[in-house]
Amino acid sequence: MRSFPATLTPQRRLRYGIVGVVALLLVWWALTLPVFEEQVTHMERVATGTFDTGRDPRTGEEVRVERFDVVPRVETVRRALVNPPALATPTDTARRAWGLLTADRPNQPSLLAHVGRSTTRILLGFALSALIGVPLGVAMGLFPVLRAMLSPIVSFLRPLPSISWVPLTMIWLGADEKQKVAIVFLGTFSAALIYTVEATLRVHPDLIKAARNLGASENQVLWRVLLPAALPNIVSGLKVVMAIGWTCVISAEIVGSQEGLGALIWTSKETADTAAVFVGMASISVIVLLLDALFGLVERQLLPYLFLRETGR
Amino acid sequence: MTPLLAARGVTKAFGATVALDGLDLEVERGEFLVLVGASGCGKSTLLNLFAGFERPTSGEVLFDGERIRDVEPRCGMVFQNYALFEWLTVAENVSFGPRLRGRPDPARVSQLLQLVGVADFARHYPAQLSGGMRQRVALARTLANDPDVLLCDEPFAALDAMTRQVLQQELARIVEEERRTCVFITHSIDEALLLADRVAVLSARPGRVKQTLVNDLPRPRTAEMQLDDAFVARKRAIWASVQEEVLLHRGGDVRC
Repeated sequence: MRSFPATLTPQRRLRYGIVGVVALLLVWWALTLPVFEEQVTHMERVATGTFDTGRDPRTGEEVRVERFDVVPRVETVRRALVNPPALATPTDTARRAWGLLTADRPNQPSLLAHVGRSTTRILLGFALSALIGVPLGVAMGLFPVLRAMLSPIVSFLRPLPSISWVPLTMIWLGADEKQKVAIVFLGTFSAALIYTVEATLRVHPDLIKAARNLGASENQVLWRVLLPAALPNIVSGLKVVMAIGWTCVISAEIVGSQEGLGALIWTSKETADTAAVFVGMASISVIVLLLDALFGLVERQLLPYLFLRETGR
Repeated sequence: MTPLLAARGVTKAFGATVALDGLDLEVERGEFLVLVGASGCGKSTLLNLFAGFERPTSGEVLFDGERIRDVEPRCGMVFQNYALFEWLTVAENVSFGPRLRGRPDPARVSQLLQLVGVADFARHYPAQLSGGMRQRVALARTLANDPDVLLCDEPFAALDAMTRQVLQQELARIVEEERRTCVFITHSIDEALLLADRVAVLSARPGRVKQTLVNDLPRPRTAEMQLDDAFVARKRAIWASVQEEVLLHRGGDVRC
């Protein structure tokens, strides 16, 4: 047996990754293949061609009524392991994705409009969280009194799921854009704050001592040492906050929204449109991955020294 | 003549823990003083007092006859974990102090990088360097501030034996070339004897100067000298003195 943990070259990792995804698609496709033949018995009314005659009791007119028989008819139906609408076929889903992209149904926003709406809401809520949470978090890291005052409130706010903010925000703000952004903000703020506080507290005290020893004033310590030293952990915290933002926006859009991926998923449920639900969910994953990659790029630009290996003797 | 650094009857307590108790110590200008002692005997506390990071509970700490009241930039500190600024290049780390005062001096920076032997790595980041290289950079960063005293808190403890030996000799050379005063903490008696003009043995907590030994082994001192009789005799004397303290308060860690 080979020793653990064993590793693979990047090329092989990619190859096996593709194998995994293709296997999943194949399983999906197989589940929707009409492989079973099933005999279904229908009862059918069949005209016999014979007639009864009689008189209408009210008018006294003569009427003829055709006779029917009810006979069983056996039909052969082809079935898959899981049938629509429980599981849309891959081709249906692809077709629906194209339809959503091109907005082929009247009065329905296109997929890009959904994506754009959700992304805007997240970015606004996230920016608000970061703009307030990061400075406040740094201040909490620096001042024990402030930390002691705010910690209980933060601990109280943190466990609240974003969806629990829906009723209050509705009452306060109505069901408009502001309310959606508010839910993202309320759902991500405490996380942004906590990550920043921890990043600030985790700065090694020797760095501050070294800077003071080299003659830095309190102000210089803050701007030239503490913030740069805390920045990597703040940024990686914000990455997580951004992901939390997605769960928030989906819960915000399930209630009182026509546009956005959450709305798309939720309204598609009403018509048992699994294909559209799939498209909506896949879109969320793709955007989160894209935003993560974008964040990674920013990180590499902003903090190049985090991506270096030892090269010196 | 006033000593450059002096601790007079210094007591330092952290809550109920008394780290130093009535410690007296003087460091002459140009002297290389090494502090050895059992772990937890307050050696680092003493350096923090000299650097002005802490104030004594009672007694006084003097720099050139004046009481140290605030962080004292004339006492430059070198840390065991290097404490380099990871987001700055080697050259930027070294010029950190001068730039704080708006007086960057690129010529002096490259001279220092030369002195500590990292001139080829000026544009590298600390993450790209080995432990020994990082400590060289940290030393240059402290020297760039032109301190009168170097305070070294076990600077080579985290390095492998080979690197440590090289750096010990380089530090001895640099301190001599730059004519600095040095207060150096170590667990290693060998290191103390290679570097020191004078060795002060601290007692176990609460710390006090138990004994000071003048170390007049000829310079430059090399690794081979560690086998000489004079070296071994001194080592035995210090070892016995430290050992007594360790046994008195079990659980120290003195490396031989």
